[in-house]
Amino acid sequence: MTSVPSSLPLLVSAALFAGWLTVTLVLKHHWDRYELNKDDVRRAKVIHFSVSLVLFIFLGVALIKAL
Amino acid sequence: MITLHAGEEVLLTRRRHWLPVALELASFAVLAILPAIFLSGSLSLRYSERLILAEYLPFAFFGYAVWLVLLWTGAAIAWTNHHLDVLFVTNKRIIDVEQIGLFSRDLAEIRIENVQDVHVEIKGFVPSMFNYGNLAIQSAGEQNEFKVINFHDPHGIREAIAKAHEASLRTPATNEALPNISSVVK
Repeated sequence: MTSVPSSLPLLVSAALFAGWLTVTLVLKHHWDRYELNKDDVRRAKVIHFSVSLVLFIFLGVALIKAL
Repeated sequence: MITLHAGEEVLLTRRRHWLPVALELASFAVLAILPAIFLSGSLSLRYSERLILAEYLPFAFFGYAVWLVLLWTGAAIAWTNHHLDVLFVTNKRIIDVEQIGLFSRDLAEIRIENVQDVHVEIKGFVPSMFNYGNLAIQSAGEQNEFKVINFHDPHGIREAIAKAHEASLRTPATNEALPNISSVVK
């Protein structure tokens, strides 16, 4: 346990969230601008954001346990 | 997505077939499940071994959560790359829009009257069963060959191109100003 610095999971989580946010903003831009079917865009956004939310809740719980 | 010229109408719009991206997404799912199998396998270890592992278990779960977020983001990129690839056949042009990664988008077009040959390739059992394949379009323009990969019903696309080409030969050319463009929008 002591071999892993306690700040490491926090830093990894922050970097991961920043990366996810950047990619998501770029993807959202592409979906809004280039998608032909607005229903597909809506569905893609709902699925992407709900699954991401679940995963970040899991990440948060795992982070609390790891700290 | 595209700007139509005066008197131009879209005859056919096609996306890539869903199966190749479904297989790609399935590989993401397998990669997501593998660590869970490995972690659940640790339950079958002896008590003393489990005690040692228990110390690192919170970090293992944290690593797994990170892995899942990375895979989910990768899957979203893969789906977007697939879903934003579109082929348009109009009465004046064939336009292939291809999303290449996150920051690169390729838009290539051929004037319909420049089309010389359209070659359809459906290779293998799965593409034959699901009716998807590749098209190679030979043109007389600067860009000699134009390839579109994994599109649904390539024979239908070929027929639409052939009909549009015949129609363009019957009508007098009034669109000399149309450029033969192949550009990458980044």
